[in-house]
Amino acid sequence: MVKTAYKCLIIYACLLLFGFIATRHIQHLLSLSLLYSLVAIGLVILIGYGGLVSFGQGAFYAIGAYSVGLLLKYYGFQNAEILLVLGVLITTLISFLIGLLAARTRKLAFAMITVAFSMIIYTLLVKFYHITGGTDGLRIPAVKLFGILPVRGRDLFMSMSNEYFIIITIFTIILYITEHVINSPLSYALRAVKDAELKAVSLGISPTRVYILAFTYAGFLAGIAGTLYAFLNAHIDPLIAFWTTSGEFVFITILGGITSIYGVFLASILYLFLKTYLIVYTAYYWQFVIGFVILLLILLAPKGLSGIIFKVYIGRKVFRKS
Amino acid sequence: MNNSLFKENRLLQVINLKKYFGGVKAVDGVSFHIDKGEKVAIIGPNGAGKSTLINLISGYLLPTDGKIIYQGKSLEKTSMIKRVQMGIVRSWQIPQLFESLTVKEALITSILSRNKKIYNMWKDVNKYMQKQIIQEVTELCLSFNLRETKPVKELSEGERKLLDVALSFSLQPELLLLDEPTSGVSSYEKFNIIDMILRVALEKKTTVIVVEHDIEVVQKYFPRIIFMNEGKILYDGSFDTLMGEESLKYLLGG
Ligand SMILES: Nc1ncnc2c1ncn2[C@@H]1O[C@H](COP(=O)(O)OP(=O)(O)OP(=O)(O)O)[C@@H](O)[C@H]1O
Ligand SMILES: [Mg+2]
Repeated sequence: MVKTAYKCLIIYACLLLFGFIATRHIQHLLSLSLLYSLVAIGLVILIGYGGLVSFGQGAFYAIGAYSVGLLLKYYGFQNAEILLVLGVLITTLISFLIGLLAARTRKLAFAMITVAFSMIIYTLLVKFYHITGGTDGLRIPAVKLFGILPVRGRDLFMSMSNEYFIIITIFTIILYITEHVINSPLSYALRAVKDAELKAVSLGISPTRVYILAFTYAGFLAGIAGTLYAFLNAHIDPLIAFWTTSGEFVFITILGGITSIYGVFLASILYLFLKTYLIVYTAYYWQFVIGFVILLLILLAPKGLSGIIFKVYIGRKVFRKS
Repeated sequence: MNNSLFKENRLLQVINLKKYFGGVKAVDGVSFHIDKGEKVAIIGPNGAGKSTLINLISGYLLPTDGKIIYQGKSLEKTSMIKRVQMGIVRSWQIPQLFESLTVKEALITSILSRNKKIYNMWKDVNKYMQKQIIQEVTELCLSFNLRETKPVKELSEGERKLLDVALSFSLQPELLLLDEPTSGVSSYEKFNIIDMILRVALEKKTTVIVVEHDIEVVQKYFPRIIFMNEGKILYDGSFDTLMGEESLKYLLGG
């Protein structure tokens, strides 16, 4: 436990340090990567530990973001912390309700339910344009956190942006919490259900209950990420609910190696930086490159980034011994 | 024996139990009762309905007709998980294990389920590792000759069978139903496995029903034998008198 705390503190220190030296643009990209990591960490639990592939995380991300946008626009909430808490609560509640339904299905049926859900959310966001702003989306003003710190700006030390500071702080807290979740009884139950569902039942474990909890937690993480995304980006549009966004989250999780929260952390950074610069240099080819990476990954490193790092590390150890 | 005299000792009573799959009468009007602490072997040729009977008692299948009374309570609509909590624990003919866990982790998962802590997601598993749980895991591993740290996916066929049984015992069952705990292992190992099972059962006062194919194993270890064929019980009693039943000899295959 102490080890986990140290690990998280070191990561936090590195991220803080980075904020002092990086340009605003890089800070923005890194912030976005961390939000993607949060969603992907939820998928590590769902896919890596539970064996359920959700293509609906983009919808929860969007629900978090739009909760903030709509609460701001129609109810005039001006406190970022209240918006954050409400956004996350709403998303978690909805993911629990969807979980009640989805946790009864497996494999393809589960994936289809989650896709269907994201299509519904996307359509609602586009069609109810008089409320949601349709494809134009919503603007998010820079409300203040605890009445002092605007969610965007440069009111902190040196070049560190407010949004970067807020996101790395929340990210680290969530990382710490998730480490506990991964070592909790529920995590063992998840693995048991994934490996041998019937055996788990004959040990008195309810797979439905286990999956509902895991699904809700993944939705909770996507909700936090979505809420913060609204603050970070100043503008939100329905595309984040489209199934391709969910596909990106799944891709990052696979790239990271499905069972490693640090793997997906690196994968998110790699993915977003690659995507950003590939779009600049090869406007129409970046999807081709991403596709190529997926292919290479499946052929050469089925365990993703964490697998590669593990191999190199172990390889060096063996090499030193001989 | 006068059945009514021993009622308080009665653990399980099965009355005219039936399970039909379309035209197949897998279990066809079976009645028997089991007293606390009994060790019973169910034998019979392939397709006799042994597994189906286990499936009915454990709640994996619901009967077409008939009654299952456990500790005086009728189980008709009780879910499998509820029955596990009531003390009816089973293993499967083909063991299904948790391939991504170690022996110790699998046992701890099971014990956390028994203690109703399995759905907790905020606390580290190590927080639950009181002395007595660690000791329990160690004892189970000792009883069944398993190495705690071994990953489940590296276990031999025999060890898989033993872990399956150890997992069942870790729930501290009242009634243990084991569906062919010795299938697929060498004949020497068979004796060993049953020996370990019955030793632990005796120590923990567990009532055990075992489906077993090996007639020598049955003869050596089980005071009571239920012989099934085509969904019906043809014989219920000791091994010695079973061999005297001329009409069953052809089914026992010599
Ligand atoms: N789910 C099912 N659907 C249809 N038929 C079934 C089902 N389960 C069992 N049966 C049939 O019921 C009969 C009894 O099967 P059961 O598995 O109970 O036999 P068994 O005594 O356990 O045999 P074995 O020694 O081969 O394990 C068989 O004819 C089998 O084909
Ligand atoms: Mg069988």
